Amino acid sequence: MTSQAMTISSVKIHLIEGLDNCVAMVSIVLNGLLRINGIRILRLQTGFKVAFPRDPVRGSGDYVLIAHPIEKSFAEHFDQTLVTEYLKLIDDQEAISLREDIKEVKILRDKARTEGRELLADSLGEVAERLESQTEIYLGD
Amino acid sequence: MPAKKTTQKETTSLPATLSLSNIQVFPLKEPAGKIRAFARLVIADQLQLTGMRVVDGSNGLFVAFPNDPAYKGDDYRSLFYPVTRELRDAIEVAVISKYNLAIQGED
Repeated sequence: MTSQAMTISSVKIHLIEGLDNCVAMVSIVLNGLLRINGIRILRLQTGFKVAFPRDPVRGSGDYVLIAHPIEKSFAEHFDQTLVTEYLKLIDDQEAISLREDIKEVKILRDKARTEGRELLADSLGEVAERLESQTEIYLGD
Repeated sequence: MPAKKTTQKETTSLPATLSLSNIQVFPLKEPAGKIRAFARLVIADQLQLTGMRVVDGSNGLFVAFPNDPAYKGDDYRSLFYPVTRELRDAIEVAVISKYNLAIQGED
């Protein structure tokens, strides 16, 4: 059986901050039949890595993996799919925050113009344009 | 030794992409509470699932899925669980029949 036989759907990503290397918690459904929670996306020096749910072994500092792929090809497919979804979400969030910034700058520009401060209004207009060109990179607008 | 309760369920057919294999059951020699055994299996020849428990409930044996230790809610959340009745029944039938075989072998 190849890794293509397992489809990953209903990917829910919860972004987290301040928890070691863990940048997100992920929940997925496999082949529409099995929900898996507690998957972590780690940001390491070598790049992003997907860590499978684990359970602490009582009395020792060790952990045992609760659900993990057997074949390397499936593990790679799994990693690739989840990291791609995570990066897509991050890009979307950055684009949203950029759009909010543009909106604010445009408000300030209009305010400056109504107050007759043309030089400031022009500078703010340039900033808004520059931010908009960055949005095109993110969203292809 | 009290008579073991067994669940009477018919084996359900699973999609070929989610076959169950390598089912292993580890009965507890001295059962703790209602837990009778731990189990693990491989799903679709791709994914190893461990930490399942065979529990002796008031309606007979059932399979409990591992809880998420990191979950901070008031209730519990399983680390994995079947979304469909079909898969849940298939796992339950496979694990409990293996458990029954294991304890028969011990007797």
